[in-house]
Amino acid sequence: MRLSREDLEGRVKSLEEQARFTLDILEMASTLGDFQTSINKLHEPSEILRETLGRVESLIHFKATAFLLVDEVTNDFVMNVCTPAKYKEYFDGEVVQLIDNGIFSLAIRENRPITVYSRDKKYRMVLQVLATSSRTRGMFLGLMSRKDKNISAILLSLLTIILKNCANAIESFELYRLLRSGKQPDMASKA
Amino acid sequence: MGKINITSLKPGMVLADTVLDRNGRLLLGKGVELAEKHLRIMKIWGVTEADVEGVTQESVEEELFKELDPAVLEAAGEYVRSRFVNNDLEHEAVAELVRLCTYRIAEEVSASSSVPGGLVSEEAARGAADAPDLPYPGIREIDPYKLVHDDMKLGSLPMVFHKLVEVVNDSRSSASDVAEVIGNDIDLSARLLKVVNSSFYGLQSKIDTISRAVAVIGSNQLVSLAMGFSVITFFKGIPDSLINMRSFWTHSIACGIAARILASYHNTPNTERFFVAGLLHDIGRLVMYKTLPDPSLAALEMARRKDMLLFEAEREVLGFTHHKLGGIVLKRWKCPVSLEKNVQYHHEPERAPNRLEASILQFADIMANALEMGSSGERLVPRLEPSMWDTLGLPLSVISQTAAQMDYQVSEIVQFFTQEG
Repeated sequence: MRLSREDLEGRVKSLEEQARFTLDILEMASTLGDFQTSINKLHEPSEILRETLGRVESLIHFKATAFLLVDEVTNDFVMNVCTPAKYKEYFDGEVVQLIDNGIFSLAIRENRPITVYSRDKKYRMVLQVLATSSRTRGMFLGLMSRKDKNISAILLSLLTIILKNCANAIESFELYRLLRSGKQPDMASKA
Repeated sequence: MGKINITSLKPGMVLADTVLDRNGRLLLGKGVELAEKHLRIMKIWGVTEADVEGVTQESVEEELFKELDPAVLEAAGEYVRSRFVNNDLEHEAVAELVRLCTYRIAEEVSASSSVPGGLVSEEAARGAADAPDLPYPGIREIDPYKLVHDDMKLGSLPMVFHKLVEVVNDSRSSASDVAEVIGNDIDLSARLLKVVNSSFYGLQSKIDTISRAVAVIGSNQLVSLAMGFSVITFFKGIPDSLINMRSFWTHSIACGIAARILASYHNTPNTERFFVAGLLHDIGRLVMYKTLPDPSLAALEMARRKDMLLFEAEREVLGFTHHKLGGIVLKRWKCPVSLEKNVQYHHEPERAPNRLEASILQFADIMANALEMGSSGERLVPRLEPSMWDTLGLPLSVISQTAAQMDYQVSEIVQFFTQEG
């Protein structure tokens, strides 16, 4: 089948658009590791999570999002950020269910975005673990309306990159915190 | 003291040792009295066992064993041990498998109120051990490479399989290519969606399109599954006198599910490829049944009469084994190298380029055989090499945990694979 000039022009236009989008995405991907906040000056990781959330929202529109961080004392996952805040209870209920049916541990194990429907079937929920090569730091939850379009594979890969960087930033923060707490007694003895 | 399965843990029990997750994270300390919140933490991190004061897995099992008729238990034990005749019964993993199989069979027999005498040991079943073997002079002349190359039918796999291989081998291919190739095959798409919506993935929600399935479980994973499915349709029409095909696929699926579960304990990426490796691990045997029916029958007979493992009888009769043939076939079909090698070495993982992956497949095969979930013709439990168990480096509790998950998933998946249309 021979394509008309019009068809070919349409195809070129669509390929140009795709190339433009890809370059944009690549540029974004290359800067995802740079956090504006200076990690060694922070006192808690919420700022890192908020900055991460800004990046996630520039890519994917979620109805609500939540970050759970691992409590290093109890090893439980505790909700640290939830936007909008009114969804906190909703997420809490979902998390209990996800733990009971094994999806939560599957998400930790698989280390990639997992999408499931909410209990009331009103929403789709994306889970992605926040993990570095050495430690699991938390879990990201994103809620989407059931009617929304599926997230493309490219966007899901970018979400993974953003959240991996977030996990690394949290790990750096925790290490700085340890370093600081280790130094204090030393400073005191010098004084 | 000893480790007990998480399913046997109850609030109020006291930990006799620390609980770690698979990456060594300290979750709970020694001496902690278990409460619901601790059980939640173990569930979050996928812990399978814990050391509890005053309770052992044996004592938990003894309580369970007490509920069964001793005569039934004894008959079940004798039957199970006769199937492990090629194994070292003293080895911890073998002993665990024997205990597990004995309990399961005794429980099943008790539930169906059949007589213990119904369990006939392999030795008794063998019967006329002195009967002469079926002679196949000159059969050792067969060259497995020539066999695969000459048989034109082996090249005529469904088109979708070749397209999937292209997608796998093309670094530029994307998730939408995967969805398109699979989506064009309506039967394949329907079967895949059934699996994705089954307990295999444990998703609460229904996935209704292939593009959604790609988003939820990943494109690599879906390609692996689709490849396994498309091969199954190729081996129809093998007579029941050689092998019951439903039983064959049940065994293969059970092996695949076990391999996938065992692989997940090692943080291995794309665990679906283990499912496919399990699904296709005995593909060489199907090629044998299809292209060499008479010598295959002779090997089956020899194994039965001499209490041999079937692959050893294959070597005697044909001069080569099904796992070697399987490797050759998968190479011919341009399947991923890891799949080819894992299948080729699933009875000799010490020779495999990736020992861990081949060991996972071998242990999965042993479990599927031990639990008698279908059969590819083998009647005995293949030999467990101690070094292979060491390579796996898994806690013993993983065996019963894996068996429980296999129970749950195997029959459901078998139904999707073997139903017509």
